[in-house]
Amino acid sequence: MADNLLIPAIVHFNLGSSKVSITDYHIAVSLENGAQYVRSINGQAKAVYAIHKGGEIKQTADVKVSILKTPDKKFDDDIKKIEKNLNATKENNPDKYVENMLFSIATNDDKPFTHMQFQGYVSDMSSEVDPETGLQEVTAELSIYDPVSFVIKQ
Amino acid sequence: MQRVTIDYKHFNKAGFDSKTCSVSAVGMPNQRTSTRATIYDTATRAPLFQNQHSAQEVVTFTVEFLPFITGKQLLAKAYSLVQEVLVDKYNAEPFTLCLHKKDGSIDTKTTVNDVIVQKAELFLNRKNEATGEMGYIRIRFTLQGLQPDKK
Repeated sequence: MADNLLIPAIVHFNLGSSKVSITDYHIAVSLENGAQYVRSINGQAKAVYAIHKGGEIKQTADVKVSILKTPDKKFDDDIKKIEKNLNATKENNPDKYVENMLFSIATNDDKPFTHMQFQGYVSDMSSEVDPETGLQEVTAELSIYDPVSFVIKQ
Repeated sequence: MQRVTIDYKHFNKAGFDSKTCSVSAVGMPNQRTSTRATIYDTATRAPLFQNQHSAQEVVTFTVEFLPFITGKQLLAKAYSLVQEVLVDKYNAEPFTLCLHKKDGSIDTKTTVNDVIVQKAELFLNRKNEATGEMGYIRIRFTLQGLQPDKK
C-alpha cells in the first residue's frame, strides 16, 4: 500500500461532555438518499427511466469503541463512564441516556480533519481477554438514537 | 492490479481525483443486452401476435476510494455527495471508466449514462485486522445509471 494514505491515527471520543480515551474503534457509516431509477413504458412501447428521489438521507452506522483495561487502572474511569451510560438505558426516558457523541478524527500530527457527531447511546458492552497479554479489552457498541442528528463536518 | 481511471463530474467537483485519493476497487457495471420476441399463435384466422421484450437497462455499481493525506476533506464531501442528489436541480452525469494496459493506453472504456449517487459508505478502523497494520479510510459509493455503451 502507498505510504501517503490518509490514516485516522488519533481519534478523540466524547461521550456527552466528558472525554473518553479509547484504544481501538471501528466505524462504518452508510448514507443512503433513497434515489433510484424507475422504469416505465411510454406510448411508443419503449422503456423510459426516471429518477425517483428519496425524501431523506438514511443513516445507518456500526460504531464500536474499545478500551484496554490496563494494570495501572489508567483507563478504569473511561470504562466506568461507558458503563454508566449503558446502565442509564434502563430508564424509560431517553433524555436520561441519550448523549451527544463526538468523534474527532486526526492524523499523526493530532490536527483533527473530520468531526462526526450524533445523538446516541451505549447499547452493548462486552469484554474479551487477550490470551497473550492477559489484559481485558472492553468493547462498547454505540447506537444512533436520532438519525437526523448525524453530521459529518470538517 | 490493472490501472483504472474514472471520470464523473460529481466526483471531480467534490475533489475526488488522483491528487487526493486512489481508486481501490471499481465494480464493473454488469451488462446485458437482450431482446426477446415472442409470437403468440392465437385462434385460427387471427393474426399472429408478436411481443418484444428488452432487458432492464438500469445498472448499479460501486466505486471504492482510498483517500490520501491530501484528501482530508473527502469524508465530509462524501456526505454532501449523497445529500445533493435530493436537490431540485441535480443533474445525472455520465460516468466513464477506463481500464489501462501496462503502457498506459486504454484497454477498455465503459461509459454509463445518467449516473446518480445512491449510497456512500465510510469505513474507519484503527487497525487493519488482516495485516495488523494501521488502518486507512475507505469510502465506497454505490452508483446507479443507465445501460453502458461499450467502445
